Amino acid sequence: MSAPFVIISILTLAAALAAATLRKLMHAALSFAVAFVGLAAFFFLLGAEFVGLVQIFVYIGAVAVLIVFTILLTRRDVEKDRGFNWSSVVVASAVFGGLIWAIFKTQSVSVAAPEMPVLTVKHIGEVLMTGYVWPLLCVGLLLTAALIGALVLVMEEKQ
Amino acid sequence: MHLCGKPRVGAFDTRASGSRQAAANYRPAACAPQKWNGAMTPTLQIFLIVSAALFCIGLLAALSRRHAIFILIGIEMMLAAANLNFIAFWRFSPGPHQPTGVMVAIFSIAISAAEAAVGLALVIAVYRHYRTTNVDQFDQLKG
Repeated sequence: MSAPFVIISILTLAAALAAATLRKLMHAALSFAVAFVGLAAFFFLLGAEFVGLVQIFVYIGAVAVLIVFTILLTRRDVEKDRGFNWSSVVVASAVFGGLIWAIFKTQSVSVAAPEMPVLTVKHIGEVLMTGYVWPLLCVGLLLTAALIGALVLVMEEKQ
Repeated sequence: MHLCGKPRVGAFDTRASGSRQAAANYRPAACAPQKWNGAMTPTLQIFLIVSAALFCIGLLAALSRRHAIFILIGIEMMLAAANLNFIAFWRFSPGPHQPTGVMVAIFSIAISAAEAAVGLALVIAVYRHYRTTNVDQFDQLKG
Protein backbone atom coordinates (compact mmCIF):
# COMPACT_ATOMS: atom_id res chain seq x y z
CA MET A 1 0.00 0.00 0.00
CA SER A 2 1.29 3.45 -0.75
CA ALA A 3 2.52 5.74 2.00
CA PRO A 4 0.24 8.73 1.19
CA PHE A 5 -2.80 6.52 1.40
CA VAL A 6 -1.83 5.21 4.84
CA ILE A 7 -1.06 8.70 6.16
CA ILE A 8 -4.28 10.21 4.81
CA SER A 9 -6.46 7.39 6.07
CA ILE A 10 -4.96 7.48 9.56
CA LEU A 11 -5.38 11.28 9.68
CA THR A 12 -8.96 11.16 8.43
CA LEU A 13 -10.15 8.35 10.66
CA ALA A 14 -8.42 9.74 13.75
CA ALA A 15 -9.94 13.18 13.19
CA ALA A 16 -13.37 11.67 12.57
CA LEU A 17 -13.11 9.60 15.74
CA ALA A 18 -12.07 12.72 17.64
CA ALA A 19 -15.06 14.59 16.23
CA ALA A 20 -17.33 11.78 17.34
CA THR A 21 -15.92 11.38 20.85
CA LEU A 22 -14.39 14.65 22.10
CA ARG A 23 -16.36 16.14 24.93
CA LYS A 24 -15.80 19.82 24.22
CA LEU A 25 -17.99 21.02 21.42
CA MET A 26 -15.55 23.42 19.78
CA HIS A 27 -12.73 20.89 19.69
CA ALA A 28 -15.02 18.36 18.08
CA ALA A 29 -16.12 20.90 15.45
CA LEU A 30 -12.50 21.70 14.55
CA SER A 31 -11.54 18.04 14.25
CA PHE A 32 -14.59 17.63 12.01
CA ALA A 33 -12.94 20.20 9.71
CA VAL A 34 -9.67 18.25 9.82
CA ALA A 35 -11.50 15.05 8.90
CA PHE A 36 -12.97 16.75 5.86
CA VAL A 37 -9.53 18.00 4.79
CA GLY A 38 -8.42 14.36 4.88
CA LEU A 39 -11.41 13.36 2.81
CA ALA A 40 -10.55 16.01 0.22
CA ALA A 41 -7.03 14.54 0.14
CA PHE A 42 -8.61 11.18 -0.66
CA PHE A 43 -10.40 12.78 -3.59
CA PHE A 44 -7.10 14.22 -4.82
CA LEU A 45 -5.52 10.78 -4.48
CA LEU A 46 -8.30 9.26 -6.56
CA GLY A 47 -7.83 11.73 -9.41
CA ALA A 48 -10.95 13.81 -8.75
CA GLU A 49 -9.23 17.11 -8.02
CA PHE A 50 -12.29 19.22 -8.74
CA VAL A 51 -14.39 17.32 -6.22
CA GLY A 52 -11.62 17.70 -3.66
CA LEU A 53 -11.58 21.45 -4.15
CA VAL A 54 -15.36 21.64 -3.97
CA GLN A 55 -15.22 19.61 -0.77
CA ILE A 56 -12.74 22.04 0.79
CA PHE A 57 -14.71 25.11 -0.31
CA VAL A 58 -18.08 23.81 0.78
CA TYR A 59 -17.26 21.88 3.94
CA ILE A 60 -14.34 23.80 5.40
CA GLY A 61 -15.39 27.18 4.05
CA ALA A 62 -19.10 26.99 4.68
CA VAL A 63 -20.33 24.09 6.75
CA ALA A 64 -17.59 24.11 9.40
CA VAL A 65 -17.93 27.87 9.80
CA LEU A 66 -21.71 27.49 10.11
CA ILE A 67 -21.25 24.85 12.79
CA VAL A 68 -18.82 27.03 14.73
CA PHE A 69 -21.24 29.97 14.51
CA THR A 70 -24.10 27.80 15.73
CA ILE A 71 -22.02 26.60 18.68
CA LEU A 72 -21.21 30.21 19.55
CA LEU A 73 -24.85 31.27 19.24
CA THR A 74 -26.16 28.46 21.40
CA ARG A 75 -23.40 28.75 23.92
CA ARG A 76 -25.58 29.05 26.96
CA ASP A 77 -25.74 25.32 27.51
CA VAL A 78 -22.21 24.55 26.59
CA GLU A 79 -22.19 21.95 29.33
CA LYS A 80 -20.21 18.89 28.45
CA ASP A 81 -21.86 16.19 26.48
CA ARG A 82 -22.23 13.08 28.52
CA GLY A 83 -20.24 10.04 27.48
CA PHE A 84 -21.21 7.15 25.30
CA ASN A 85 -24.12 4.96 25.82
CA TRP A 86 -22.85 1.54 25.01
CA SER A 87 -25.81 0.51 22.90
CA SER A 88 -24.78 2.98 20.19
CA VAL A 89 -21.24 1.56 20.24
CA VAL A 90 -22.68 -1.91 19.80
CA VAL A 91 -24.91 -0.81 16.92
CA ALA A 92 -22.08 1.03 15.14
CA SER A 93 -19.65 -1.87 15.47
CA ALA A 94 -22.30 -4.31 14.30
CA VAL A 95 -22.89 -2.20 11.18
CA PHE A 96 -19.14 -1.95 10.64
CA GLY A 97 -18.73 -5.71 10.96
CA GLY A 98 -21.51 -6.33 8.49
CA LEU A 99 -20.04 -3.90 5.97
CA ILE A 100 -16.54 -5.40 6.33
CA TRP A 101 -17.94 -8.88 5.91
CA ALA A 102 -19.76 -7.83 2.73
CA ILE A 103 -16.63 -6.12 1.34
CA PHE A 104 -14.43 -9.15 1.93
CA LYS A 105 -17.08 -11.48 0.59
CA THR A 106 -17.29 -9.60 -2.72
CA GLN A 107 -14.48 -10.73 -4.98
CA SER A 108 -15.03 -8.14 -7.71
CA VAL A 109 -14.03 -5.17 -5.53
CA SER A 110 -10.39 -6.23 -5.21
CA VAL A 111 -9.42 -4.61 -8.51
CA ALA A 112 -6.69 -2.12 -9.24
CA ALA A 113 -7.42 1.19 -10.92
CA PRO A 114 -7.42 1.28 -14.72
CA GLU A 115 -5.46 3.87 -16.61
CA MET A 116 -7.34 7.12 -16.87
CA PRO A 117 -6.93 10.36 -18.81
CA VAL A 118 -6.74 13.46 -16.63
CA LEU A 119 -10.21 14.75 -15.81
CA THR A 120 -10.13 18.46 -16.59
CA VAL A 121 -12.47 21.09 -15.24
CA LYS A 122 -13.32 21.96 -18.86
CA HIS A 123 -14.64 18.46 -19.42
CA ILE A 124 -16.64 18.59 -16.18
CA GLY A 125 -18.12 21.92 -17.21
CA GLU A 126 -19.08 20.62 -20.63
CA VAL A 127 -20.76 17.56 -19.16
CA LEU A 128 -22.49 19.70 -16.52
CA MET A 129 -23.90 22.02 -19.17
CA THR A 130 -25.06 19.29 -21.57
CA GLY A 131 -26.00 15.97 -20.03
CA TYR A 132 -26.55 17.09 -16.47
CA VAL A 133 -28.24 20.43 -17.05
CA TRP A 134 -31.60 19.38 -15.54
CA PRO A 135 -30.06 18.05 -12.31
CA LEU A 136 -28.01 21.25 -12.16
CA LEU A 137 -31.16 23.38 -12.40
CA CYS A 138 -32.88 21.24 -9.78
CA VAL A 139 -29.93 21.67 -7.41
CA GLY A 140 -30.09 25.43 -7.97
CA LEU A 141 -33.79 25.38 -7.11
CA LEU A 142 -33.09 23.26 -4.03
CA LEU A 143 -30.35 25.60 -2.83
CA THR A 144 -32.64 28.61 -3.25
CA ALA A 145 -35.39 26.84 -1.34
CA ALA A 146 -32.94 25.87 1.42
CA LEU A 147 -31.68 29.46 1.67
CA ILE A 148 -35.20 30.88 1.96
CA GLY A 149 -36.24 28.11 4.34
CA ALA A 150 -33.28 28.68 6.64
CA LEU A 151 -33.98 32.42 6.67
CA VAL A 152 -37.66 31.88 7.49
CA LEU A 153 -36.76 29.45 10.27
CA VAL A 154 -34.45 31.83 12.09
CA MET A 155 -36.54 34.97 11.57
CA GLU A 156 -37.70 36.72 14.70
CA GLU A 157 -41.17 35.61 15.68
CA LYS A 158 -43.86 38.20 16.27
CA GLN A 159 -44.82 38.40 19.89
CA MET B 1 -8.18 -10.60 2.18
CA HIS B 2 -6.42 -10.64 -1.12
CA LEU B 3 -4.09 -7.73 -1.39
CA CYS B 4 -1.27 -8.60 -3.80
CA GLY B 5 1.90 -8.28 -1.81
CA LYS B 6 4.21 -8.86 -4.73
CA PRO B 7 6.36 -6.03 -6.08
CA ARG B 8 4.22 -4.66 -8.85
CA VAL B 9 5.90 -1.51 -10.05
CA GLY B 10 9.13 -3.12 -11.14
CA ALA B 11 7.36 -5.96 -12.87
CA PHE B 12 5.37 -3.52 -14.95
CA ASP B 13 8.29 -1.33 -15.92
CA THR B 14 10.41 -4.12 -17.33
CA ARG B 15 7.93 -4.77 -20.11
CA ALA B 16 8.93 -3.79 -23.61
CA SER B 17 7.18 -0.73 -24.93
CA GLY B 18 5.95 -2.71 -27.93
CA SER B 19 3.75 -4.83 -25.74
CA ARG B 20 2.21 -1.80 -24.09
CA GLN B 21 -1.03 -2.13 -26.01
CA ALA B 22 -1.30 -5.77 -25.05
CA ALA B 23 -0.63 -4.85 -21.45
CA ALA B 24 -3.35 -2.23 -21.57
CA ASN B 25 -5.88 -4.68 -22.97
CA TYR B 26 -4.98 -7.36 -20.48
CA ARG B 27 -7.17 -6.85 -17.48
CA PRO B 28 -7.18 -9.66 -14.93
CA ALA B 29 -9.91 -9.90 -12.36
CA ALA B 30 -7.68 -8.96 -9.48
CA CYS B 31 -4.20 -7.70 -8.75
CA ALA B 32 -3.45 -5.94 -12.02
CA PRO B 33 0.18 -4.82 -11.89
CA GLN B 34 -0.14 -1.15 -12.69
CA LYS B 35 1.66 2.06 -12.02
CA TRP B 36 -0.31 4.96 -10.74
CA ASN B 37 1.25 8.30 -9.87
CA GLY B 38 4.50 6.47 -9.29
CA ALA B 39 3.16 4.67 -6.25
CA MET B 40 1.67 1.29 -5.74
CA THR B 41 -2.06 1.28 -6.19
CA PRO B 42 -4.39 0.63 -3.30
CA THR B 43 -7.23 -1.54 -4.44
CA LEU B 44 -10.88 -0.59 -4.36
CA GLN B 45 -11.32 -2.78 -1.29
CA ILE B 46 -9.16 -0.52 0.88
CA PHE B 47 -11.14 2.57 -0.07
CA LEU B 48 -14.37 0.77 0.71
CA ILE B 49 -13.02 -0.23 4.12
CA VAL B 50 -12.01 3.36 4.92
CA SER B 51 -15.40 4.56 3.77
CA ALA B 52 -17.19 1.96 5.89
CA ALA B 53 -15.13 3.01 8.91
CA LEU B 54 -15.99 6.67 8.32
CA PHE B 55 -19.68 5.79 7.96
CA CYS B 56 -19.68 3.87 11.22
CA ILE B 57 -17.90 6.69 13.08
CA GLY B 58 -20.61 9.03 11.78
CA LEU B 59 -23.26 6.57 12.91
CA LEU B 60 -21.64 6.40 16.34
CA ALA B 61 -21.65 10.20 16.59
CA ALA B 62 -25.27 10.44 15.46
CA LEU B 63 -26.46 7.77 17.88
CA SER B 64 -24.43 8.44 21.02
CA ARG B 65 -24.38 12.25 21.18
CA ARG B 66 -27.17 14.14 22.85
CA HIS B 67 -26.26 17.50 21.36
CA ALA B 68 -28.23 18.41 18.23
CA ILE B 69 -25.22 19.94 16.46
CA PHE B 70 -23.26 16.73 16.85
CA ILE B 71 -26.04 14.62 15.50
CA LEU B 72 -25.82 16.86 12.41
CA ILE B 73 -22.04 16.38 12.29
CA GLY B 74 -22.54 12.61 12.37
CA ILE B 75 -25.02 12.80 9.50
CA GLU B 76 -22.58 14.92 7.49
CA MET B 77 -19.87 12.32 8.09
CA MET B 78 -22.10 9.54 6.82
CA LEU B 79 -22.90 11.56 3.69
CA ALA B 80 -19.18 12.18 3.15
CA ALA B 81 -18.48 8.45 3.39
CA ALA B 82 -21.07 7.92 0.67
CA ASN B 83 -19.27 10.55 -1.45
CA LEU B 84 -15.98 8.72 -1.00
CA ASN B 85 -17.68 5.54 -2.20
CA PHE B 86 -19.02 7.30 -5.28
CA ILE B 87 -15.58 8.63 -6.21
CA ALA B 88 -13.85 5.31 -5.51
CA PHE B 89 -16.30 3.30 -7.59
CA TRP B 90 -15.99 5.82 -10.40
CA ARG B 91 -12.19 5.67 -10.33
CA PHE B 92 -12.05 1.88 -10.31
CA SER B 93 -14.82 1.36 -12.88
CA PRO B 94 -13.86 0.11 -16.36
CA GLY B 95 -14.68 3.45 -18.02
CA PRO B 96 -13.49 6.32 -15.84
CA HIS B 97 -13.34 8.78 -18.72
CA GLN B 98 -17.06 9.43 -18.27
CA PRO B 99 -17.31 11.56 -15.11
CA THR B 100 -20.57 10.07 -13.83
CA GLY B 101 -19.37 9.45 -10.29
CA VAL B 102 -17.84 12.92 -10.11
CA MET B 103 -21.16 14.47 -11.09
CA VAL B 104 -23.07 12.47 -8.49
CA ALA B 105 -20.53 13.45 -5.84
CA ILE B 106 -20.79 17.16 -6.72
CA PHE B 107 -24.59 17.08 -6.53
CA SER B 108 -24.40 15.14 -3.29
CA ILE B 109 -22.06 17.75 -1.77
CA ALA B 110 -24.46 20.53 -2.79
CA ILE B 111 -27.45 18.73 -1.29
CA SER B 112 -25.67 17.95 1.98
CA ALA B 113 -24.61 21.60 2.27
CA ALA B 114 -28.26 22.62 1.91
CA GLU B 115 -29.19 20.03 4.53
CA ALA B 116 -26.57 21.36 6.93
CA ALA B 117 -27.82 24.94 6.51
CA VAL B 118 -31.45 24.03 7.17
CA GLY B 119 -30.49 21.74 10.05
CA LEU B 120 -28.43 24.39 11.80
CA ALA B 121 -31.21 26.92 11.29
CA LEU B 122 -33.57 24.42 12.95
CA VAL B 123 -31.13 24.05 15.85
CA ILE B 124 -31.09 27.82 16.38
CA ALA B 125 -34.88 28.08 16.09
CA VAL B 126 -35.38 25.28 18.60
CA TYR B 127 -32.79 26.82 20.93
CA ARG B 128 -34.87 30.00 21.04
CA HIS B 129 -37.84 28.06 22.35
CA TYR B 130 -36.25 25.64 24.75
CA ARG B 131 -32.99 27.42 25.65
CA THR B 132 -31.16 24.15 25.16
CA THR B 133 -29.80 22.04 22.35
CA ASN B 134 -29.98 18.75 24.17
CA VAL B 135 -32.29 16.52 22.15
CA ASP B 136 -33.45 14.66 25.25
CA GLN B 137 -35.25 17.78 26.40
CA PHE B 138 -37.18 18.38 23.16
CA ASP B 139 -40.15 16.46 24.49
CA GLN B 140 -43.14 18.67 23.80
CA LEU B 141 -44.44 16.41 21.06
CA LYS B 142 -44.04 13.30 23.15
CA GLY B 143 -47.34 11.51 23.69
